[in-house]
Amino acid sequence: MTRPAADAAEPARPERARGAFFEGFRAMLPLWVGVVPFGAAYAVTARAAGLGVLETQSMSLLVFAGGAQFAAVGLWAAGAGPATLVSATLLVNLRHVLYGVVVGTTTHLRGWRRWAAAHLLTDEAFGMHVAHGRGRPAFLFGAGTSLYLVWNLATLVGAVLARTLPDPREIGLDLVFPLAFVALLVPLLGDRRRVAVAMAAGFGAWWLGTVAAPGVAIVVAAAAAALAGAAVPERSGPVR
Amino acid sequence: MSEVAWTILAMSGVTYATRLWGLLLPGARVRGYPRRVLDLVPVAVFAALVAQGLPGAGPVDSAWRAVAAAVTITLAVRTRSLGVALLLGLATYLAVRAAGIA
Repeated sequence: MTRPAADAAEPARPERARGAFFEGFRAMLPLWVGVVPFGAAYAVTARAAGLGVLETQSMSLLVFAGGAQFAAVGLWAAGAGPATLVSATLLVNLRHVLYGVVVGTTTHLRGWRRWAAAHLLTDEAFGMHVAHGRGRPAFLFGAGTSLYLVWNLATLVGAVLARTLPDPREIGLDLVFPLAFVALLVPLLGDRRRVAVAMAAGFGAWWLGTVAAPGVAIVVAAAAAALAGAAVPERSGPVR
Repeated sequence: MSEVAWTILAMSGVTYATRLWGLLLPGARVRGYPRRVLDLVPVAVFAALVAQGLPGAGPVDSAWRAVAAAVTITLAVRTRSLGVALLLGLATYLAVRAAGIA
């Protein structure tokens, strides 16, 4: 049976794929500084909300979305029902649709790789992939696996040591994530159009965040800024 | 299975669906305006995430977090190393907090 070209090409270069995987894995290491305390903090919050160690860990293994997990355990503690939790999860994670579209159009994922990549497509893995690994599926898998591993280990530690760990927000480590996105954003600001889109999305998300759920604010502001920015005629060279 | 287990499975399902949906769209031949929109999505999403995560608890804390972001931007431009830029930006903020300024 004839195999599609991409599927046939990738196993023919296993060393290259392995190199890209570990490059992606290593690229995430600086973010571990923030992921470890946040994974542990999520677990502490979940345990305080009444979830057991197995349930706390299951959420990290199966949902694997920090913001949504935090929102869910907060709602759980407030007595919300399953429908509310699932709806909140959907709202918080809506931006992942945009990530999938971008990755799907820039990186050749076929067969099981597409289905596996969907589980690993977090904010951080997407950001690292766009900045350093475009077009390389193995890089995306490396970055995603790195985050999955450390997030789940941190969850386990936090779930077991729930009463002894500090809140990362109280010691300032929550700043790791916005700073990581600042560092990922800077190399992408190649022309005035991109700078304008970034400013519009930033101000839009900040303002909308005061009147709507954070997940909705991010999706609406980012989509509106990208749609408007793409409609403006080019003046400063071709858009990559 | 308990209600908690079902809820976690449902949360997992909707999260996975949002990620898979975009990946399943046939986008390999996207050109023109849709292509330009997709090219701008990362810039827009990263800026929106920064805008939501950067403000701190009060104006003084927010100002120092902005200073840390400025350090990160400067180092990202000069060194082109995410690790160096991120860690030194964070170290700036933690040093200010440790000194009791923020």
